Amino acid sequence: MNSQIQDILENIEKVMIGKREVAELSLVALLARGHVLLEDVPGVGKTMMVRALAKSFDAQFKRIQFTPDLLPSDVVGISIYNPKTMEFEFRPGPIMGDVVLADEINRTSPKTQSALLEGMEEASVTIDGNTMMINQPFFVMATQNPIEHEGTYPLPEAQLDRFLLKIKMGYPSRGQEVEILRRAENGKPIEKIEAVLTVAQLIELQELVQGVYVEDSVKNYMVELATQTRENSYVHLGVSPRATIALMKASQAYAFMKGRSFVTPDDVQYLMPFVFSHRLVLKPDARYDNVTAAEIIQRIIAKTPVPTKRFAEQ
Amino acid sequence: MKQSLMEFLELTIAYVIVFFILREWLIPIMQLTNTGGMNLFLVFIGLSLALSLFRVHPVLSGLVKFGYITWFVVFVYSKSPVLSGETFPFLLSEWKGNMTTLLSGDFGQVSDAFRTVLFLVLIWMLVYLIHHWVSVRKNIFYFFVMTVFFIATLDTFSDYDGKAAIVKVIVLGLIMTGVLFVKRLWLQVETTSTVMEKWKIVIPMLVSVFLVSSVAFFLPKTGPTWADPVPFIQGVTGQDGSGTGKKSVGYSQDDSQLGGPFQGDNTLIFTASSRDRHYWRIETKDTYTSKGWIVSDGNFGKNVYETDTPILTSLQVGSPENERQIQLDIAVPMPFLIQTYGLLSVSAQDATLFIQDEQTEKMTIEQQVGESKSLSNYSLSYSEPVYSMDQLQLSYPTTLETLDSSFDRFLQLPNQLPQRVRDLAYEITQDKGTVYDQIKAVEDYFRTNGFRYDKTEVAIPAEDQDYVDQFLFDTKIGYCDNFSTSMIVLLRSVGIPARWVKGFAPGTAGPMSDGLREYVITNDNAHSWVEAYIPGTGWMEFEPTVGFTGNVNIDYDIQLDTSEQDEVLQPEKKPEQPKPQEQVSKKEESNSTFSFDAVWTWVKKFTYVWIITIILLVIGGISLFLQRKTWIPKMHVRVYRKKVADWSNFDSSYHVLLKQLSRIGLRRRDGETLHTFAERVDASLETDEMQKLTAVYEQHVYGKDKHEVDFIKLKESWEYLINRTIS
Repeated sequence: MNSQIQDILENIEKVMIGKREVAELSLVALLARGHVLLEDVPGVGKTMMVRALAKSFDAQFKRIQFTPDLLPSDVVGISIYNPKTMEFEFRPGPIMGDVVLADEINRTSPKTQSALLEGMEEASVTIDGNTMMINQPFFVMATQNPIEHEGTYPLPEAQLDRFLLKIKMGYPSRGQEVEILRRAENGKPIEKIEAVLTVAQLIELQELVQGVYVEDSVKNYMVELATQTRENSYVHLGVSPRATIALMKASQAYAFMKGRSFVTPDDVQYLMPFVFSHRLVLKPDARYDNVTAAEIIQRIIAKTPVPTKRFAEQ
Repeated sequence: MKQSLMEFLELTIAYVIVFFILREWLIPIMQLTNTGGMNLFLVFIGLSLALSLFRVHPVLSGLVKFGYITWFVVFVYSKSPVLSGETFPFLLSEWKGNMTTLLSGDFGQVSDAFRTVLFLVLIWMLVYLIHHWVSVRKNIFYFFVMTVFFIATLDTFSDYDGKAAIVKVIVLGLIMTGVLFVKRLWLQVETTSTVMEKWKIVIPMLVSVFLVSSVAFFLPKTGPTWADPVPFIQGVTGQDGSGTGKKSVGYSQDDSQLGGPFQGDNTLIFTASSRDRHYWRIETKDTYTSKGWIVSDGNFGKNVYETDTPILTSLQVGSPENERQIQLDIAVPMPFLIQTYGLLSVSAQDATLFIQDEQTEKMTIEQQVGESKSLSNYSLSYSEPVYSMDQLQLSYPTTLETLDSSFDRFLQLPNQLPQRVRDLAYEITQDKGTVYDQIKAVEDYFRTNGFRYDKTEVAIPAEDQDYVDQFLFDTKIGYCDNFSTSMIVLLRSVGIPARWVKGFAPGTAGPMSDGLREYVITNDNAHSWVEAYIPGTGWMEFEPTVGFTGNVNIDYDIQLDTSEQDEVLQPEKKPEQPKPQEQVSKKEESNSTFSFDAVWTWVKKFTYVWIITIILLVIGGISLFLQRKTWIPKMHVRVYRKKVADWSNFDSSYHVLLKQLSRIGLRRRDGETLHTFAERVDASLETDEMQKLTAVYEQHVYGKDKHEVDFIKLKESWEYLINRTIS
């Protein structure tokens, strides 16, 4: 595994107990210049996760708590008249941070949601006709309560497509929870961690990830997997080519994290559920038969032949 | 405790079953080798089983068995009582004597006592093996199969009748395999089971075993399709059982039920010194029953001839100047005369009467009237009939209508004769202008329409089936009876009188000396053929059986000498060739150096060799296939050792490894990545080499730049893995 990545993960683990996988996947998204949707109930450490990540490379951390009455300007920022200078001054919103935590994104109105999502996709915001670029690295980690909860505005499919990965946090195990309590006794661990990487180094890593090699046979494999989602009988709407690109980018980042210069089908298989599951629109039949998107993806993985030769030799 | 008691009980049941199966082994051995003391052997088997059942310490158990064997030998073979003063010297002398014979290589000379000891030791080992199968392997299937095979073989090839034994063994064996299978299942599941749960499985198993066995037992069974080889073996080995064989070639009296396989039997019947080759005629029969031949009812006279008086038959004779003699030496006494075509008179030394039955033309030899007698030698005078072709060609079918009622019995046909037989007869004969041509057409029909001569694969007609119909349309395989009977039925269907002749084929000819040749006639030469009536000519013999050459002299009125020459030449040929192809191909062989037929003949000559070779090849192929897990990888290891260590060879060797792994059951699933597969392989082979190899292979397949790799080390890993799959 890449040593710098190792450092970041260890740093995060000082704060987060037993959430190695979530940390890794968050890093994957970060390295692939994507964003993460964390879906889970409140209080399992979503905020702590993002803060630890931000602190690890000394990035600016911003947090937006979405509420039903939140306005788009609360997210992107607003121009305020300054009586002293007699001018409108732009006050940047929380989206202008390096690492942004968008908490409970599905509790606000679609209008506000789309303001955030536009920023995520374009890495720019438009205020009063002025388009402003958001500084790199720009990493949004949105959290949402499980959709079944009341008082939520489910994100439309097109919006969901903008998240590279959807991760579930999950509860810690008993032992882990005891350890969490033990650490919480002696103050807040988050205060104690320090940056292990600079922002510049992070951007450098992002550049390197783009150079990770994807063999044609593996590309073919990804396309085959994507095609399978479109042909599955339980799926109403399969994944878009954007999703296939996302799968490739995430695989590159993951391979890089694992210290490899090339992507293997293992990377693809590992990431496919996180990249695809929130982009699939299932038919009602799936719900009747109690089949989830994750199960469909596992079935597709199990039956799609893995390439074991170079593309040219097949 | 309860568990172990249960296990003990199960084992006891298994051992009791094994005891009974072994008993079935012992019975035929005892019976066939004429060994007594069966109970003593059974006690030994029981003792051995009990000792291994109670897990007696090997040393103690060995001592007990050794003691029993000693006691057995002394008890059975020593005249003095056991443990008397004579016991030890007896054993010592036995030991010394047998060791001397063994060391000098006379294995056949060892004493009965020593043989018994060896046999008991064999049983000892067998019981040990069974113990291993039952309590360790928990699989008795092969032993069970071998038992069935053993009993079936003995039943087939020896006097032993295994009918009851096979049923017992099947039932016991199936129960045994079932019980052990349940045991194996339980071991796999690894749950502690209650007795009830086991019975839930065992009871349906028992029920189905008994159900299957009883259904099989009561179902109707067809007779054997193969001939019982016992009489044949007895014939070959010379132990001629007194009439134990069911049906063997030879001259029999009863022909009312024809069909079924025949066994070869080369018992010498008689030898004949003759200038010419003859068909040895004994009698004729006239009534076909759709199953065989019988003699019709009716009043027929008997003619009595003395020795050297002219004999009259319904057959033609040649001109008096061609009169010749045949000397017959009879090996198997028969109370009737062996006649030949053109018979003039018989001369025997003793005062003998020959009683000719007018109906069958059979001539019985009698001392006085009513007192049968056999002659050991006599001579026949004959003049071979010569038939004129011109005369034969005058036999127009219309002349058949003028025949009187005495020919009716030669036109008899059973009422239930299928129409298609008649239709066939018309079809064969319709465009022939003379009776003779019609007859020849029928005779030739058998040679050109796929009929085959065979003694073993011959069917017996079913209850509602006609013997001839079956042969003509269904089987087309048969021996002389099939051919001759069919020809007669076909002839009679178109109104040509014909009768069935029994006797012997000419036999094997010896070398010519003083113008005479010795013909040897064995039981194998028993034969049947056809006599048909041609208006204007009379009765004439025909030979429809493929592979047999008839013996008719026809005067073609072109050159009188030809027939004479033919007669001289004929005996030089092999008198009888059941395989006409051979004859044909021999001629071709002389013409060309190579022909397909010649090769085919050569192949046919060594049929058994070929069959055995093919069987061996097949067995070899199967065992190679079954052993492929072992030899294929070894071969690959050798091949790749020589190859250069580079990426392409690494690539192919990796795929060879994948294939070998799949052979031992480690198959990569479609959706399984190489890495996860490698982990699985390593887990099951308890190594980590596969992951090392796979990491390099992944880099080779999915990576861009090739890194420097230590191929030598990879090769070692590869070989290690391959060898791991073999062991």
